[in-house]
Amino acid sequence: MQQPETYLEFIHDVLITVHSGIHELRDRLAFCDPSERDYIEGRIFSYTELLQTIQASAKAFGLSHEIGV
Amino acid sequence: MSILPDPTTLAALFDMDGVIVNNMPYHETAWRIFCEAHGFAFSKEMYYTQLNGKNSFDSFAFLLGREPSAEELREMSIEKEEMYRNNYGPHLEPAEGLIGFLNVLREHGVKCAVATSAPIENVAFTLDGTGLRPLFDVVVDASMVQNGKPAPDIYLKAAELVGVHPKNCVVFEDALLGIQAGKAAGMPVIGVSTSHSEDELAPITSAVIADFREIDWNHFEAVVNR
Repeated sequence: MQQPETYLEFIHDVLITVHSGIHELRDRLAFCDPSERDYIEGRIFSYTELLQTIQASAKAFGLSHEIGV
Repeated sequence: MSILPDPTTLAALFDMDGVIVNNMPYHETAWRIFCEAHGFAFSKEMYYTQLNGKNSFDSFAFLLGREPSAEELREMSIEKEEMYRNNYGPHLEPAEGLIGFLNVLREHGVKCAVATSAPIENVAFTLDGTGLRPLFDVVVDASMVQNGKPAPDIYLKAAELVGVHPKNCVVFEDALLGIQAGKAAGMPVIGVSTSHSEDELAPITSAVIADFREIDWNHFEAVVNR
């Protein structure tokens, strides 16, 4: 059985990856070819939806304050 | 023109993050994600001793090891603070017991102010999002003073704007740097144990509360008269 800190580090690692993805895509969006715009906006939307899912699950399990989302 | 302090009036000066809202885990997570994404070392201890209470300029200067350019400051601050507001937005609410305590203070004629190192966007997010703004006479944010906490500037500015002598002001703080700022301004500080334990805060503050359900008028008055 893992220590609780490990689970916290795990979910933070997921959040870091998701936020990095959003950040990178926003940078790309600023300089992208018009033909790429829809695709990039769609990926940002997907990442944002994933974040909202994590937030909703954290809330459902009473972990929002502990995880910080 | 500065406002002359009224020696007969009292003022309660509240830090914002970790005091009027219990939001520190959300800031901590946003800083952790920001630091990891940008290759800055991060630890919980570093956050609570070195970043918590600092304004954005001083925080990013600490991480970079040099003063950030205006462009760097703007970009990094937007990224980190947007992340924080997204994380905390669904949970935004006043600290436990705060509204009742503010009403007690106002019934006794005590001036109330917010004095925060936070950027103005976060101040609007917090005070307008919770509906707390009308309960404060004055709001002082990081942009209104030259030197951030632990310098006393922000608390002295708040005292000046509410027109109360610094010796008649009481500070509510959770951060070590903020407690230093309040004490440097010559004000008694009541610690709020959201960022640090009661054991850590007790030796360096006049009193410690977990939240505002633990303080009433008599308790407040006792700190003032100490």
